[in-house]
Amino acid sequence: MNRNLRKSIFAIPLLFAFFFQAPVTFACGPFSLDAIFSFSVHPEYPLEKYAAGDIGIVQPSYARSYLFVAYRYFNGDSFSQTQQQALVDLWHDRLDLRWDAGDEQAVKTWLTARQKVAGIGEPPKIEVFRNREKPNEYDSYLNCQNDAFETAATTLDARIGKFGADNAALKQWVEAQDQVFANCSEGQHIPSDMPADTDTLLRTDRQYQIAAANFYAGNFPVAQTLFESIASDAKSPWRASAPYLVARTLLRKASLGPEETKKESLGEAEQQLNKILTSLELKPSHEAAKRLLSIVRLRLHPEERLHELAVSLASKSGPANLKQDLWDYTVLLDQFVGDNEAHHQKITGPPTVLHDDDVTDWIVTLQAKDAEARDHALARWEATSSVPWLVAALSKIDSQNANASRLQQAAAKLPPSSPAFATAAFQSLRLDIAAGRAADARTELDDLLQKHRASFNLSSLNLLQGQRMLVSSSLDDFLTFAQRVPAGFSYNEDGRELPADAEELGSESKRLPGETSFDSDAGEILNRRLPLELLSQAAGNKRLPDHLRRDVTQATWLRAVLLGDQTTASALLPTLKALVPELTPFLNEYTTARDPAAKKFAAIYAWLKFPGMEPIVDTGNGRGTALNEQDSYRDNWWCSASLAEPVTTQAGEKTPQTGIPAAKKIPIFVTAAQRATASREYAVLASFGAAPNYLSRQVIEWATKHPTDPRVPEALHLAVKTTRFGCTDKQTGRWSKAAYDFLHQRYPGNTWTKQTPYWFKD
Amino acid sequence: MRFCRTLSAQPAVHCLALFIQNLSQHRLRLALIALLSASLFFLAAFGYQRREQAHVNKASSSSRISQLPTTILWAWERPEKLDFIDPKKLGVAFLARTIYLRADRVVSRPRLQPLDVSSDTAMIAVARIESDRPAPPTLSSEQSKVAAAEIAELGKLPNVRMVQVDFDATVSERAFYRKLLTELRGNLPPSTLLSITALASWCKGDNWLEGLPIDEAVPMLFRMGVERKQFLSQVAAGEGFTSTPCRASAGVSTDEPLTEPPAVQRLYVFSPTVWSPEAVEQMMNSYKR
Repeated sequence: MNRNLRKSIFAIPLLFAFFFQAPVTFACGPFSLDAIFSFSVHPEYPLEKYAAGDIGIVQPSYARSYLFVAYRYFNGDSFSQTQQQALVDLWHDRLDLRWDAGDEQAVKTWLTARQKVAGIGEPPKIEVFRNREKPNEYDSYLNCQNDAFETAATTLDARIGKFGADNAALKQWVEAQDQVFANCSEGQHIPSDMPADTDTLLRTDRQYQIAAANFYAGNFPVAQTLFESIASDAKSPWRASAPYLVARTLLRKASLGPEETKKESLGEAEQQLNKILTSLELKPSHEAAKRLLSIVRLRLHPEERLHELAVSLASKSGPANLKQDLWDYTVLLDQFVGDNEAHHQKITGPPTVLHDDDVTDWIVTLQAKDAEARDHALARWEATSSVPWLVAALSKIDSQNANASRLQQAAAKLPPSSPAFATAAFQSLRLDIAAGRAADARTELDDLLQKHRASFNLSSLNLLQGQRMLVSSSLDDFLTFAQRVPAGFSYNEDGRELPADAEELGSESKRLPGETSFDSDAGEILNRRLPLELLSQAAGNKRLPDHLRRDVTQATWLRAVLLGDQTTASALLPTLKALVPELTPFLNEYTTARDPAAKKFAAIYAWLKFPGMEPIVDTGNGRGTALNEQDSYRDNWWCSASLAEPVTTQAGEKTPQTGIPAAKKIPIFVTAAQRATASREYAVLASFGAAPNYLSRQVIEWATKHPTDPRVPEALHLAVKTTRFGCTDKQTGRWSKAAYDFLHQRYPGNTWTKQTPYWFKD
Repeated sequence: MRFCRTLSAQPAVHCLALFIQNLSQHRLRLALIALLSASLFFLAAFGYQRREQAHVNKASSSSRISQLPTTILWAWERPEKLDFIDPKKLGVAFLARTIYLRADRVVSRPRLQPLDVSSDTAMIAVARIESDRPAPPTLSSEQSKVAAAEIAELGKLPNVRMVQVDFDATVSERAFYRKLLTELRGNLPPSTLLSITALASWCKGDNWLEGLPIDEAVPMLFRMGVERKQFLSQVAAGEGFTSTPCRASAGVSTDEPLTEPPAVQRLYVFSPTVWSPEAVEQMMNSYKR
């Protein structure tokens, strides 16, 4: 039963959209709470701010609906309050996977209404999805939408009002309606016709029920004929909506029928809807018909429709139904250029469609990564001098490009009030840094951050601070900008970057919001590009808050120990004791140890007892477990993989500072000699391999020479433990057995031996 | 007649023998001996049969799973046209249903995206279970029962040889999933295999998968979160997974290439983009399948 056309207009496009737009997620894990310093697939939350024009630094990796909004603001257009709400609704529908498919409430509404009729049996179970038939038997479709149940409930109330709830004919009405809805999930349940002498209203209702049953049962030609017949029945209350339902039947036939008749059915549906729109008599159906027509045209004339939508979306006032049009537009774009980053390499749509309309051209060009797109962006900027194309061109060129200077000059003219100000500044600064103009970039960034800091959202601020870190003139300077406040926290199990709500943060994570930490770019410099000498200075630098200094200090002290630099290790002891007081007794043993070998074993013993210590500075939220406790996810001692060059790419990793050569990603205050030392030190650390192997070897060597050291049995026990809870490799089993054998053969009956019943093969 | 009290040192069979000895009528005694013998024979035969059946089931399960193609493409919720694949080399594990556990409810959504395969393709129907964030699930018995029943329906789809359940379970949720899988196993036809996707940590150093009524667990070597560094270095070092259900298969993704493909009998491959003949060929080459 489908009279409530106004309500139906959204359900159908949504269903259509699902055919193309369902998110492809495959969550694995386990998932830690990630710190997100700058959002990359959508802007920072709350999205209302972005919809209102707080655009910040636009990332080409944003979903296209966000790029459309940026385009409009860059062009000087805006959105009304209603339109902004429509945008936010669309984004949340997509990000939160809201789907209006098979909402139980609508079914409940009908079942509640049904109970008002006396003498009917138990309500049947209604399933709204129906499985398709061969050769499409693996997919289903939403057969009965919410409006069907709502209309049935409304109609039943009206009939109760007319005939009374205990009328026998009404009972038959309900039974027939049960049959109609039985088709939602399977089979052919068609109510029988009513005798000619039945009350006209009930008889015409039954004809409508029979047509609807055929529609839901997939008998589209029959349903079409019956709806056509109802449309010409002057006595039927369903006469006005029947022509629209003919069109819906044709659209359903196109969606689910054979491929070869798809176009023909869509063509017929288009014709039928145009007929409705020219009929004054059918005016109540016009809005719904328009909506359905746009869906039909979306499928029948996708290129034409993409163009129409682009024109409408880019118009000054924007379309009347922004949410639906933007939804359709982005769905169509996905069809033409792919629904994820892979599209950058293969654009399947005919070029003319993708470049005829400025908004589409801009979005597609901004997201493309090839030289052709760069040249096109430059040509469009030359031709239009528009802000969107200035941003696109700036984003795509490298510092060697002949137009770089002109583009940067144009960017510099943008007022801070321009929605493109942050993006243009960021891209212009990127070119400066890449060209080696560090001093200029530093001055400009300092000015920018001083005058406009408050106007940048955290994602933008972090991107700018990342640039500022690269042009640091001193260690103080570097440490100031290396630490940043994350723009959000997310479990990000499927790449949607959904920020975790306050209640989703565990008790151990409550402290995180507002606290600074190191992003991966800072971690890369700290861990690979700074020598021990500079790290040691960083450990004592009060620009770092205690929680970061604590991590830097433990990492540096351990590095010094592992690299055999006792002077640095000893110098760090007071700071380390102050920041990690629980280490004090072990550090005192280090201090009192007589010779280098004894000092090293004292450090190794301490490290065995504090699995959270590692010669690597953490990025993001870091290790959540206490320093002296085992981490359940084996984030204990160190992982050799942390020290190796990355061999794989993690999906979702983004590099917004693209185009800056690797050599320019080391701050200039680090001298050539310091860089060389850092490389050497790093190579030594990387050569140690898996921590459990290294630790076991150290303990066995010490134990062999100092068998009476009372710490040895416990150290051997802990060495075996590292092979269970640490990052292992294929040599680990050998070391585990060696430590185990040593303990059991030399110290039988010792309490630590008793506590070590196994060694671990892998 | 003496009464026999079964004590721990006096087996029940001995008590029965004493009881029979005390029967006065010879015929009745004979009849009872015959009845007892027959019962013992049936018990023994039934027990043997059950042991045999269990052995046959296990053997036939492992034989059925080994008949699956050695490479399986995951076809997630998007239109996929896979009628070009060689069914002898490749099978398809398609997302067939998503189950949302929401407060005390189970909301079930079937696959809405078209999937084209040839009729002789080995199919694995995947059910993804999502816990709702705004309305966390109660994880009640009723919820596991309803979810298991929903998933079991997938076993009825054509050519479906195995049902695979994809879920994330924290330690506190394991009891719920153990129950769900047990109920699911009971609901599925005996000939339908049962698989789960697994975190790498479940397969190494964690034994909660042992004893689950499953035919395989597929450790996922992608989107690994905090475990990534550790497990990838182990896979690169050629180490296998220790948990029994995890030993024969692994899951990888085309956008997270591994330096060394895992040496497993069955490799599941996920692609974040639509599968094409070129993408399949490239995957087969890169994973040396």
